[in-house]
Amino acid sequence: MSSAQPVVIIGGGQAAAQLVGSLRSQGYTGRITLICGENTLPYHRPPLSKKYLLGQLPVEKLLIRKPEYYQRLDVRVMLGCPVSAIDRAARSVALDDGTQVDYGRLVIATGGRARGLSLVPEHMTGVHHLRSKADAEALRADVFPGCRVVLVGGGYVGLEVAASLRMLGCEVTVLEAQDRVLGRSAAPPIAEHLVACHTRTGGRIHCGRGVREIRGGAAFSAVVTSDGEEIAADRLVVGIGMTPNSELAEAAGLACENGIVVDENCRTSDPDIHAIGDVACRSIGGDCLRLESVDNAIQTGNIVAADIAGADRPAATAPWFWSDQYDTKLQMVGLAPANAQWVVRPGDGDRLSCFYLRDGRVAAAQCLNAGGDFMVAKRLVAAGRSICPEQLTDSAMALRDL
Amino acid sequence: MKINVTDRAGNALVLDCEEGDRLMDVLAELDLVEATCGGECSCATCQVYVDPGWLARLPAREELEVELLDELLNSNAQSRLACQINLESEMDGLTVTIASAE
Ligand SMILES: Cc1cc2nc3c(=O)[nH]c(=O)nc-3n(C[C@H](O)[C@H](O)[C@H](O)COP(=O)(O)OP(=O)(O)OC[C@H]3O[C@@H](n4cnc5c(N)ncnc54)[C@H](O)[C@@H]3O)c2cc1C
Ligand code: FES
Repeated sequence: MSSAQPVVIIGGGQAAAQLVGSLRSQGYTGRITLICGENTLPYHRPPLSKKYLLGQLPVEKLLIRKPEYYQRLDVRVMLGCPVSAIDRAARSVALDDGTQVDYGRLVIATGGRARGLSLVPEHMTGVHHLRSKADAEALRADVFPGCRVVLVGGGYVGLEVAASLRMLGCEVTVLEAQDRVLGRSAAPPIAEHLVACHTRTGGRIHCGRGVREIRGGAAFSAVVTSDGEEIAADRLVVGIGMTPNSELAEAAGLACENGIVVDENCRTSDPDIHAIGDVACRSIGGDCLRLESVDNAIQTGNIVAADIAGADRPAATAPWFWSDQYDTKLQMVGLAPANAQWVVRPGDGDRLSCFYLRDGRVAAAQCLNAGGDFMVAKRLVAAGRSICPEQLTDSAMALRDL
Repeated sequence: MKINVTDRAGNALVLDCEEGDRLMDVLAELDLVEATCGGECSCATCQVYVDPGWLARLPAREELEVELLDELLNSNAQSRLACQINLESEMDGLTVTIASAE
């Protein structure tokens, strides 16, 4: 029976943690080995740019599960052990120290790493990025009230870091090369609201301005923007997204393109090897999507657990995501194309919800400071409810009554 | 300290916990709730019904929590999000029932 085959998981992040719990709750009783390059048990990354950076969340609350959890589930955990190669013929993985671990089913959950800015000279000090707990700790330790920070990249993580650094008393300037922040993903009115939150508190966001040059000797001292302005600063934070850690898979000959290519069951081109979480590019109805979210890590972990345990694939759910900046909470569900036409439902004060209709049905929603709208929107998207835009924009009508 | 929890299958459990734990952490540790967002008040998958006798003894719900709970189909006046409850020594014996996943 397939469930007796030992499962080996490369990577110990959100997706890996979900997979081990889900495997056991699906009744898989075989051996599970989790091998992670980082020297810490799986932890929540979202607080790294938010409460943890602000020093408002103690380190022990960052862990997804306590150490006892893995003991109770009888999972062999190997921390601080980067996997250096996958040997598909021998069905084993090799660790840096030469140790081999045999697998029956292999799951690659290696996430990604912060993308670097090639203009930054190697070993320059005062330069940061944010992907890991260690990155967050290093950044927090290196800033001070009044510290001038230039942040390159206006994506979610970048904007969250900008908000947190501002709250720590830094002078923050965000440079976004595109003509608006969150260009690929947020509805324009939502992005405008978020920018207003930043500028209201004294943060600066410059769109349409990239980086031409990074100045400094051993230590960073200034950025020259694409339009030629020199911005002197104490620290540089590079927040231009992540690169999937798919090299192991590529070297093993697995199909890779923008991550590790997997089918709906998260199987790679080798049916005994799965990929989950941020590193997986999953084909769903003809599209190949690589999502970077907690929800996706959890869904793909559950899908692989069911596949390995021989259970039915869990029902598909609409992907969702959140982002917190200052006191503003953005929650979004469903996927919309970059050029989507959004139906805007105005709210009181800082509340705002936008809906994207495909063929008259709610396919995506983005809710700012409107958690209630988000809860309802999740149901509307899941049900593929057809709705007329006039009802959505009529704020006198409660969403739940539509 | 101990708390009394009825899980989704109806089993009555007595759980050990420590002051300062969030109720959500205690429940998630046993995979009794999804707690997808890890306590950031974004997912509402950590809903519990608090025993009526205990309701008034917990710190009040904040606006965001109320808003999420209000729109859950299975919430009621006893609903709380477990991630918003920090366990304190006076809560020894707290009694909750875990709401089903929506
Ligand atoms: C700062 C920040 C804020 C975020 N905020 C949000 C948010 O608000 N909402 C949201 O939904 N999502 C958010 N995300 C995204 C979310 O955290 C990720 O989608 C999620 O962590 C992905 O989980 P994963 O397990 O795929 O990868 P990861 O969590 O990256 O884990 C991968 C692990 O694999 C290890 N690894 C890599 N290579 C090897 C190897 N060769 N051998 C052994 N181990 C290896 C890595 O060291 C790492 O520990 C945020 C991410 C970051 C960085
Ligand atoms: S854990 Fe997400 S709202 Fe409580």
